[in-house]
Amino acid sequence: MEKYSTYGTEDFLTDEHFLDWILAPSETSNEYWKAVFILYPACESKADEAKKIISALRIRPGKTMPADMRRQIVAHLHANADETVAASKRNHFIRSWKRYLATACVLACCATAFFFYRTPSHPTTGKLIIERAEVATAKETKITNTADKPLLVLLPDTSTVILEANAYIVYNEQTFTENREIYLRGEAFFEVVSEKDHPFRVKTDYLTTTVLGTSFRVKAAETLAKSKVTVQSGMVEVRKKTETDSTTETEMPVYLTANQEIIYSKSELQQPSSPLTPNDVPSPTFDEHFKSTPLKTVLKALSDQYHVDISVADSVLETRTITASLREMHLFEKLDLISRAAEITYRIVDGRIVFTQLSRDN
Amino acid sequence: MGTQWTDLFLWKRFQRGDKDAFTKLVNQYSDILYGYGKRFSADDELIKDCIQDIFLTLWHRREHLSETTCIKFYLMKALRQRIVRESGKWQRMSSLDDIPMNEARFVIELEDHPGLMEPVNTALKAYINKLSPRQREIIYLRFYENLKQEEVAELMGLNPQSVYNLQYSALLALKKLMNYPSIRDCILALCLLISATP
Repeated sequence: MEKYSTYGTEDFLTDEHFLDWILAPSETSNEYWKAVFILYPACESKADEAKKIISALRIRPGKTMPADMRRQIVAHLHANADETVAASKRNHFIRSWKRYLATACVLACCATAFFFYRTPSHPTTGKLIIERAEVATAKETKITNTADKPLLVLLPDTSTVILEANAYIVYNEQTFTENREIYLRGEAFFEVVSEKDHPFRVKTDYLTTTVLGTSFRVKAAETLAKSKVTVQSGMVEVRKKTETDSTTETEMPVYLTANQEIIYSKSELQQPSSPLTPNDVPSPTFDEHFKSTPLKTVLKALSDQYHVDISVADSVLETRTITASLREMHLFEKLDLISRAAEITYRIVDGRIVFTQLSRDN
Repeated sequence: MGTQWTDLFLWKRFQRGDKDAFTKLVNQYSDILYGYGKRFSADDELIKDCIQDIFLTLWHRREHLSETTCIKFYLMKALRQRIVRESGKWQRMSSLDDIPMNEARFVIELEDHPGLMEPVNTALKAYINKLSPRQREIIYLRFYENLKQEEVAELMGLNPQSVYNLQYSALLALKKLMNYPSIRDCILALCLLISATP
């Protein structure tokens, strides 16, 4: 910082950090420059002058695209979107930024691998028991929540399951991305990543729930008296399992949309006559618009919504504020967004979410 | 930087082949791209074709692209390369002038600054016109589109040091211009002082 003691106007004009601050101030940069001016008060007037010079550059905004040009472009794109392009037609700009993107790709892969391998690596310390078994040729994974509170499980397709106490799920890890089928005993809340060609099925002993991308809760009690499916968003199809053949469900399905639920009892599917109010849905929607809200409050709201443990490693981080709208997002999208906003990172440790400082420190 | 987050999710949907997300992406960036493109060329048809092409290529290559949080930068870069290439072709056919298109033209205009006197505003406009097209583009990208200096360098295909130098000389000239009124005031005060002394 000492260099600022001798800074003149020209030095500020060539200082990219300074220009970044003037052009796009952030909380961090505001603090930084405030500190600079307290330590080296003599340079503040030079900085002001530099600011004034920059502010003279008021570039007149260009014309917006004419509405009918936009219409023509969109129409052209839709008309041609389904055509396949020959390799020779590929543009060279894409190739050049592919190289640029390679790092991002590797980073993304690391992050994904991390989630998948992290959870199984602590089977004994946490309360999520992961068992792998080979049934015939299929490799099945069974995840049981032995804790007394809900825990979070990430599926290979990045859909999430919040597994209630004593519930367990079974799925085939190898084929899951192609055939998204999961067996559930107990109660769980699902947030499904939408994939048109790969429907997501949750099977219980009595019901099969098929979705394309939504969030819903399935309750398949061990005593088997009642099974229940509650939909928070999107739409699902529920079928009764026939006794003879477990793979084909022949009876008419029942469709449920947001805030509806269905109860299976005494071999019948019963749909409550009136739609539920949002309050009846076990995963409450909360006000998901935050404006300069402390991280602590945001995480509390999220934790209440999903009934999962969310903690922050360093209490200093909890005071950071967030302005964001988290509506209609998948849990992991919300976590990613919060991480970006508060410049922190998170890990999944034994079904719990832990936020920590970014390792890159400056 | 709120747009970056929504960008990310829009991009994810786009990569999954969601045409609605594609339309949204087009609507969201068409003004930025059109505004940038028009500074290179007045030819609406050329700009339209270029924008159409880069979006179509983006769509067909979507599965091969990595997750990106800065769609704006990539689209601007793609558009720039396309315009330079297309207008280069056009120029070779129609004129003997062999200056590349991006060197020949980049138009920006300044708005009047209400806090400055009329002659200063006039001088500012003259100053912008005197800068080289490259300098104007750097000023535009850095101070209007808020790109970082490294991004400006990558987008324009220049090395960062050249961008630094070009930007520095442009800002230095601007500083001189802005200081001019105060120097004049000093001289004026001095003259008054001299004339006032008996």
